[in-house]
Amino acid sequence: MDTSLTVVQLMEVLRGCVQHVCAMQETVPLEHIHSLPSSVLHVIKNTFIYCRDSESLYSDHLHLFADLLQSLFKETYALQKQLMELLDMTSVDSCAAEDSTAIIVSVIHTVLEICSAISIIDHALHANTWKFLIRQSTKHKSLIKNSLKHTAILHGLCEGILFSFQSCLLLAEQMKQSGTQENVDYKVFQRTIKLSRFFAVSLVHYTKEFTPFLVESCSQLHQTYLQIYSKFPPSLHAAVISEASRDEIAKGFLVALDPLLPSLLSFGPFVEAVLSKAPVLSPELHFAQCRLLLSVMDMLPSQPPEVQALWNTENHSLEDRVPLFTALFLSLQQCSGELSLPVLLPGVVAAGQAEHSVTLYHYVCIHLCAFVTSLSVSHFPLLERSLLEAILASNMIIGLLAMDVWCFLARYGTADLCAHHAFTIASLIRACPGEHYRVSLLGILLRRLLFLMAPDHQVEFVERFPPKEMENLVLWQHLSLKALMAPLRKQVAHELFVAGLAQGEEWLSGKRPLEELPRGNAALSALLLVCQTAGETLEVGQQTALVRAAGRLLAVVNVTQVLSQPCLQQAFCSMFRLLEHCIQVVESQMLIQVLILQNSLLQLNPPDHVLLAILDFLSSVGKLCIPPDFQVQVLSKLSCLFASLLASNSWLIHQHALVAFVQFAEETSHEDIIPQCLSSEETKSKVVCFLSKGCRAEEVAEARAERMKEENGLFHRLLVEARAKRQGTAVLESSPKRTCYSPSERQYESAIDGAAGALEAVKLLLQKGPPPTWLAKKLEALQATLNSLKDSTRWPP
Amino acid sequence: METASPSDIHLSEWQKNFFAVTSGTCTPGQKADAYRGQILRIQYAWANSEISQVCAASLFKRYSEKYSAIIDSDNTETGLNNYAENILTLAQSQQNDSDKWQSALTTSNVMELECVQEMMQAGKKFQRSLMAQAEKEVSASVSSGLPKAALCFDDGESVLGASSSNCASQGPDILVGPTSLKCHQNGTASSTKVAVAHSFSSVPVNEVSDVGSHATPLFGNGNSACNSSLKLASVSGWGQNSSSSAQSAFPTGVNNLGKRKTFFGCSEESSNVAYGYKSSVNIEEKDFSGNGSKNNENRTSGFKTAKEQLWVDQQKKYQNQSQRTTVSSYGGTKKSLGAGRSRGPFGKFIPPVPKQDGNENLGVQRKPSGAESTELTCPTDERLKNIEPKMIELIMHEIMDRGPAVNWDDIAGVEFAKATIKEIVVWPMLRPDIFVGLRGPPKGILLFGPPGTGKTLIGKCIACQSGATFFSISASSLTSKWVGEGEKMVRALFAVARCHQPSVIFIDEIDSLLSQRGDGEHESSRRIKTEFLVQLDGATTSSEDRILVVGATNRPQEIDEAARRRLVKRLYIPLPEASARRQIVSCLMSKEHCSLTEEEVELIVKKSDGFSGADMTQLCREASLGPIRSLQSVDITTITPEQVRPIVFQDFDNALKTVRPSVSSKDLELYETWNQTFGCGR
Repeated sequence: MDTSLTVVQLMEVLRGCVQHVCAMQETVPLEHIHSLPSSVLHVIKNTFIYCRDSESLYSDHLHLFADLLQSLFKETYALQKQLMELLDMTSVDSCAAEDSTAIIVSVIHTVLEICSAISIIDHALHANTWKFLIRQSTKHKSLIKNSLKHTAILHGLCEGILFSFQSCLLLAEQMKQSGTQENVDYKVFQRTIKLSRFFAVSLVHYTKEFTPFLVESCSQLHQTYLQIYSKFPPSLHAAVISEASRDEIAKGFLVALDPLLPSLLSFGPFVEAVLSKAPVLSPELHFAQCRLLLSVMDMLPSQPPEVQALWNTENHSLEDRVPLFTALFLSLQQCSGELSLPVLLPGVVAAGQAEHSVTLYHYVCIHLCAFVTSLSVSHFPLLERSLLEAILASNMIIGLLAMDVWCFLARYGTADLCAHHAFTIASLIRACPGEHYRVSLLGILLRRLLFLMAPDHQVEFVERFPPKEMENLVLWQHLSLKALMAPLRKQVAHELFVAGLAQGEEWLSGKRPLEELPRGNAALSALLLVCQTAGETLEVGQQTALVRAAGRLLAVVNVTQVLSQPCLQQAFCSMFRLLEHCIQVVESQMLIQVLILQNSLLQLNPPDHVLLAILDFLSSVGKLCIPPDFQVQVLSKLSCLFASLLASNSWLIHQHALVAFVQFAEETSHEDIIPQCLSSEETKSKVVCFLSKGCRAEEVAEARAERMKEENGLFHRLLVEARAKRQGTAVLESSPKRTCYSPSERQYESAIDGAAGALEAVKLLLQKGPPPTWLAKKLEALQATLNSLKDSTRWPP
Repeated sequence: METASPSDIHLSEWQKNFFAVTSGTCTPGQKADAYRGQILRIQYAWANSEISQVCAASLFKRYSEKYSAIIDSDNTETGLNNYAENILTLAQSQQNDSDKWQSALTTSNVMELECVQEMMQAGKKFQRSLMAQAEKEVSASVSSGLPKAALCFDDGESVLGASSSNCASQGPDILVGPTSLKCHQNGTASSTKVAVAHSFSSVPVNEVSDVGSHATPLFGNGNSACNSSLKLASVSGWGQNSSSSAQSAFPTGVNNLGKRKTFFGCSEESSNVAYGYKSSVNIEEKDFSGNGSKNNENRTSGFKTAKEQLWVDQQKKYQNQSQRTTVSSYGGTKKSLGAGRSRGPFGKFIPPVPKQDGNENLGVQRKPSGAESTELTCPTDERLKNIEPKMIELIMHEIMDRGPAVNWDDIAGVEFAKATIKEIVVWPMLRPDIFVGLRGPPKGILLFGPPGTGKTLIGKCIACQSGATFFSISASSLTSKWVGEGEKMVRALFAVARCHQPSVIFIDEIDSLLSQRGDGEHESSRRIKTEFLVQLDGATTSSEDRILVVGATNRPQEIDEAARRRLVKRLYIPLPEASARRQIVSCLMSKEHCSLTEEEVELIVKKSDGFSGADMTQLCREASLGPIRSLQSVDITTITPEQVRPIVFQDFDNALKTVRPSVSSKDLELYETWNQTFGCGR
């Protein structure tokens, strides 16, 4: 008790001392009081820490000391205030720089410690102390910039921001839950926003002042930014807060944080931190990362070329770094949940129209494309490559986005460019052996590009890849003849038909049809394409020829073989779809044969894509009018097929069965069959529901958000697995080729990469300002080390 | 059934999208979102191993085809045009190198890409597995499986090599055409970014002759011949497609001329239509290149933005042909181009990028004074480009005032105010060359004083006498009529005014628009106020703008201090003095049948102390009814005008009993004190 009183008195004495100095002169040279600040600050710091820990120190007896502690705190507070005033007044003589620098630096570092000590005691004091810290460090910037612990200061700022921002969110959440905007809560909320804003402004200010020294803090800045945005709506992981508080936080706090990004845009290490792929971001941060990258894209066009280059090029020395486009695609790949939800973001405000929200995909697409429009010539190849990689990355929605951008590109760029792309991709497809998922993605892109090509380029396309030639059938099966002009379309359709039929016939009459099946499949696909996209040009005779060929195929194969051979499955799918288009010329005998085949296929539980093809075929059967002689047979088979398909376990198959069945039911003239198809009550109720567009499973918003998070988790796991697998194969593949390398090669690699990165950072620092005096010496020493290393590599170990 | 299983939820989500797509009532944007939703479900089902890869691929193909039909279509009703509108809004005023983009992908180097190699390997693996399967099943020939696959691949590569060389040799050829065209373009516009619209303007058939007459003097005979041939050639194409309004919505440089604009959706509808369209586009391209060179001589750029086109369209709709002023030589090319084809009046026009315009002579044309000539001359002003055309139209038609001309002599009294206004407003407007620098005119003046003292009349007079366009707007129309659009309206108003310089914006009852900004007020009115202040004298206004805002109020004390600062000259318009009242009486009475002596008039003037101008008018009206009232015995329907006796003093005396001054002396004191604090008068 007595000690505490003594301490209080000590404080008073110290304050009097400081006050005296203050009152003495208008500006105090720092050298004159050099011992004062550090000692006083030391006392202040420890007192504050003591106050902070008092609760645990005194535990139950705290109430006895409350008053005393209170006065102690007040005194310390007053002393600190006085000291801060004094320090603000002091001037530094540039001649005595050495000493003063040390003093100021130590002052700032002690103040930083005070900051962390008082962060939970008093917000206002905390903020004021920070204000002082930043004021001092900028005031004496030129002297102390090299000796400050920038990382620690920035760390403190980031912590402060996150802490106050989170308490903002917490308060907003409570306000939303309690439903009432109680005045007390609301005032606290507003004050917390102000505090966050203060920290944001300070961070921005500090960052601007000391950018070159923040090399090590870049990833912290990046993480802080991501964390803030991932906790703020519309992120999936955001707190549930009301619209009003959301607005208030955005206007009060996020706006203040906005200038951070532009000030870091040209800072190399920050770019590295953002575009690095080495630390896999945790799943909840990907959405924020997307937004960050899109903000960068919005800003880049107005930046000088060298800054654009910083973001748009690959850094070969650092393997972990990806260009901006790729980074966006990679992040978005992990935002499947946000895309499906869909998360809404502000759309583009067109002149005179109210602002409306758009889905995340839309938002990404337009911002990406807008960035693409500003792309300079030198960065264009990178875009092409990134798009191609994204399409082939086997994530559908990313592929779709890349295609959308590519199509935009095709229309925004020159016609020649579009044509060149189409030719390149066409050659790629043709060169790829075998049917594969990724090839079909390229096929979809090419199909879209063909629509956007100039007419003369289309002609050229047809000349370059003549449909007459067998090897081009592989290519043409992906395209749409609707894209071509009428005369050309007719010609191509005809050539394709002839070539396809010829190849099909040849294959069917060959000795070993199954072995040559890939060729046969190409022929079938090409024929299917003709039917699908230029069906009107086919004459009845040609259709009959097709149906006859299909009939021959039916005769050749054994149903049981289908299950084990993907190639044959494909052939069947194509055949069913062919028949779908030629249904009018299918004779009843043939129809029965097909239905029997399908029924027996169903018994064998075939893969799902075969089921889809069967459904496609069935949906068209309604167009047929079945002669009375065959009705019983056909209709019983049909009802059997529909009944079992409608009862499918897979919801996707079930849905497509519903659609096919409804189409069939609408078109058919044999209404009596419909009840037969709906044998079970459950199926019946589902069909009725579908027809009335009702009976959907309802899901509350929270459950939906939760589900989306889970979906994100799934994709995250898959990505991690795929990466691990790829690394595994990379090691496996490299090992037989390079037997001479020891397993430590990777260690070497990473070490060298690290060294290169560090040197790069030094280079950047040199651009920013004069180097410290010792740098030259150190560099020389490094040079020597390098030389000796070089020498030692000459000898084979 | 109670708890929805995951697959139920997926199904219902899918169906929601399905119904959205099939409903026929949703916009293309919603459809695209729905298809994307389905694709995302497919992707999830695949990732979750609910469906096989082949199935996922085929479903993806199916739905992405439907999706792309919407995204890639430039049909405004069914397509999204690759979001071009949004994108170009975002991308405005950025650098544009798209014409110089060169693909670095070649058929050979593309093979070296990691992703492509992966694809190739996957393909090979797949084929191998197929072969293996086939071998297993068909034991007949074991020999030829793997080697065949490899052979196949080799073949492919040799073909590739050939085609790549082919490609390289063709490159330069293709380039020649565009660049030569581009030269013409660059000759006229300072920036290389000028986007040339393939302005497929929708010119209704009845306009064709009119348009032709404008175009001919510019381009000579050759051009009109071109027109007719074009008409002949393209009629066949467009005849079939008269109602379809699909148009290219894409900005293209001249160098992009070769580019075809297909529309996916349309071509799926009917082959005939698509053919027609395409052929006409071909013709157009040829024709355009012809015109391009002619343009070179005229040194006009053939640039025309959607906004401009919209203007032209609206002019056609709403205004008399005779009043329309042609937009100089501008767009003539386009009209002659469009002449052959009728796309119907509903053909929506699409935004080719309004990038840096660079065409100076499009700007403002000075108009002679007089109300009739305030018809717009610059539908195409750069400054109007971000403003909704509807608002501009509203302003042009509802706010731009075209009343009878007013003279300074029509305003009795207030000599000081008149003199001040002449000095600071009218002269600078008439002689802008002298009134520069410090002498420059103020941006705003405030007329305040009791109601009915002629403030509005003064505002009108300013406009007439200075030859400026007069916008008269009451504050209430800004605040109530377009709720929520108020600040846009203000912006639009100033934008239009800027295009019609010199202009006078007269705002009656300005106090209700610019009242003190306080905490309790409505958000929208606050925004209006802010916008107004910014427009009046803010970052966006330049000192060269010759826009004068005249505010009139009878509650000057309620005006916001920021607004007060901007309304530099604050003139007190007091109640009419004795001489002014006499002038009013004699002026009004001179038109009536009346017998008043000088003394009687003097007496009336004396008795009407404290009357405003409006009160005086009311007094005279009341008095003029006196003779009628005295005709009690006679039937009003039968009398002749001669029987009505002249107005005499007695009538005024009676009238003075009923007409009382509308302004109280207390109010007057208020004005006087305010005038002493803030006013600029005596």
